[in-house]
Amino acid sequence: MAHLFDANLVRLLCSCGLMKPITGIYFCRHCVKLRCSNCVSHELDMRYCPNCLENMPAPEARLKKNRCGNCFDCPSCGQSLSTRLSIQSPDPEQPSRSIQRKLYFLSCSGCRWTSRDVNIPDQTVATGGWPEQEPPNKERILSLLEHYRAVALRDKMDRERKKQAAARVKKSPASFLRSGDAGADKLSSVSSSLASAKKSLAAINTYAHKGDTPLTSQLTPAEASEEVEGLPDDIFTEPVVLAQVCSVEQRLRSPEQQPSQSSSLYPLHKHMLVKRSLRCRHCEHNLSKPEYNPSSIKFKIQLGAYYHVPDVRLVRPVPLSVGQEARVELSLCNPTPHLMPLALLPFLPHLTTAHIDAGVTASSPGPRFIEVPTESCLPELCTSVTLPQGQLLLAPRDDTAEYGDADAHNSFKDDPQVVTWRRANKVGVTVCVTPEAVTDALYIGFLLRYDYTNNMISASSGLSSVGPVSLGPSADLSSLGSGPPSGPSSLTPSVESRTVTLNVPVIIKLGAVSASASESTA
Amino acid sequence: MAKQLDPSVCNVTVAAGATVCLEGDFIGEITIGARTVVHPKARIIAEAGPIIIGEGNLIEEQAQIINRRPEGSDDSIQRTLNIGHNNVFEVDCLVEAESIGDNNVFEAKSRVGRGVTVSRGCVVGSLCTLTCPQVLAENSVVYGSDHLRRHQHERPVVQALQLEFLNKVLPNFHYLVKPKKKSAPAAAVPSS
Ligand SMILES: [Zn+2]
Ligand SMILES: [Zn+2]
Ligand SMILES: [Zn+2]
Ligand SMILES: [Zn+2]
Repeated sequence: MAHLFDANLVRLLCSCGLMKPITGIYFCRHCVKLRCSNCVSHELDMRYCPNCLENMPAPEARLKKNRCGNCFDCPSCGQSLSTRLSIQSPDPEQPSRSIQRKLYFLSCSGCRWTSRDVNIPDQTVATGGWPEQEPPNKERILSLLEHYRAVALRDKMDRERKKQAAARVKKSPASFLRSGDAGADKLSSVSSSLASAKKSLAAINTYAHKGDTPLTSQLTPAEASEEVEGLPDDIFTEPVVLAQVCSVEQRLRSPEQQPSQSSSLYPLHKHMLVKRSLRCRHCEHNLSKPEYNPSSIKFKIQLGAYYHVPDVRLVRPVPLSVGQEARVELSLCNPTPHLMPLALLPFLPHLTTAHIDAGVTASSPGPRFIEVPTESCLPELCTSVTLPQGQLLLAPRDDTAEYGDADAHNSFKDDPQVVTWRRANKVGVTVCVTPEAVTDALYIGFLLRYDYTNNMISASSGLSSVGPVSLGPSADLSSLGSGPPSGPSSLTPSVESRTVTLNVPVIIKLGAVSASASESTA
Repeated sequence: MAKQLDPSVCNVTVAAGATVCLEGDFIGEITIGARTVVHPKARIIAEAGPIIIGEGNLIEEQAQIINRRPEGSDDSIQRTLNIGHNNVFEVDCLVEAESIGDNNVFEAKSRVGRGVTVSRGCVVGSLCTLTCPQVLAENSVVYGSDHLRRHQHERPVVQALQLEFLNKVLPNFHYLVKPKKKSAPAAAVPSS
């Protein structure tokens, strides 16, 4: 059963040329194209702490190094630390402490690290108040930051001064010309040029004052030395106790401190997470936008391909051997509430990739480059694949179907050569594959051509001027383009329904091919 | 009316104050100390010799404590598995250790094989497996999928409240193994 849910077996070819499972693909309803994480722009909506689910505005997050102030991770194993309560009973030896006190300490449920292990005193309040470690290089880093901020400021002023000077050179001949023409203006123009000269002089003075002198005096340059601190004397005599030495992961978890002994591990502030929204780079519409509330896992907009593209799944894995025809059964599922005519066409990679390139250059003005990584290279596809011929209809998704009678599918006049079974909005089809060579993983590819009914709010109808488009290799299925009568939702006046024919390349990984038929049966 | 353990299979000696549910699997010579709680579906199998369990131990559901004979060894050699006080055997752990001290925790689904000597205050984390013969140093913790080890300063706290609660609750819903009366012989416990 695992193959049914292994999303990586069946992958779709995104419009950018990357292969992704349907769960990793978005469908832009405005461009009517597939988009994936590679070809959308990612926008940061908010930062929040995954433990206390509090959101943090950007400036505060920058100050706190994108970490939560109240939640901690275990420095030993990385799990979240929980606050534990211990009740300190009255101590007969210390008469000053005669009442019960609540004391809090941090404890890890994974590796049982506690803040008491490193002698952090228990706190009397449940949250906050934990001592912070000063980074050892804090002073130096702060002075460096200050220095380079000053350098940046000086550079900026230099640039401005040059700009001003250039502007003055351009302006001054004109002003002199003008002053020669009209004597009355002469005095005023001279005074104005004097004033500007004075201003620039003053400006130069201020640069010299602010920028040059204090900069050099503030920063003490780093000194390189050949002398390296020697190893401690006992390094060769004392046995190493691994339980007391930090692992590399533990050291790098706190880059400021890099503790070498596990006795100096300090609780780590928890990293913030972000909620991000995705935007189509071509039409700038949102493809995914989460709700703002950190504790909500819902989306305001979620245009996952899962809701718009028929879901193709491998029904069961088949044994493959060279030269022997195998019948691969696929299931196709219609996720939309519209009737969906559908056909499987041969996939010709060179035609599709050419189309992808053309599409990207045509519809992306400006610097919106979409890089196609080298990993997008299509795998070698099996050439001898017999796809089911002709067109089949996928029933609309109906949530009540599973409670109704099972005979509803009689209304479809299915060609038994094409459709092997039909259940609600799913059909099964068989693809015949004849492997040609021994390989670890055999891939087949086909073009899923289907009619997609797009419902758009008519307010944005200007954008959705997408007629029936015919992409990819032209086929004999011209009847597909006309599409079925629009769904019932087209009756409402505010919604505009359009049907377009889409071609989605699907690549399926079938598994290993054994040497020959006789071997596999033996 | 009350069910009895099969005296031909096991001989369970329970100290007063222990809560040992009758539904558990008991095989061989087993001694259970005071304040120890054994859940209904725990398995305690003393195949290669007696198992002596101390006081205040908590043996949870499906925990297995087995004194197993090494394969192909002589049947006549007896080996006693001593378990100290205040240990916790969490759900579905399998313990075949050589000996166990005090205040140890065997977390859920942990496995401790033969030849492992568990000293005091040790924690074997969830799904951690110890198979090689070794001595777990005091207060050591084995945790995580990589079986990392660390040394903790304090021993795990005693589950006193939990034991007290189970002592109160379990008798209401389960038959218990009763402490033997000193006068009565082992095989003829009167069914009161
Ligand atoms: Zn893409
Ligand atoms: Zn937090
Ligand atoms: Zn931890
Ligand atoms: Zn778009």
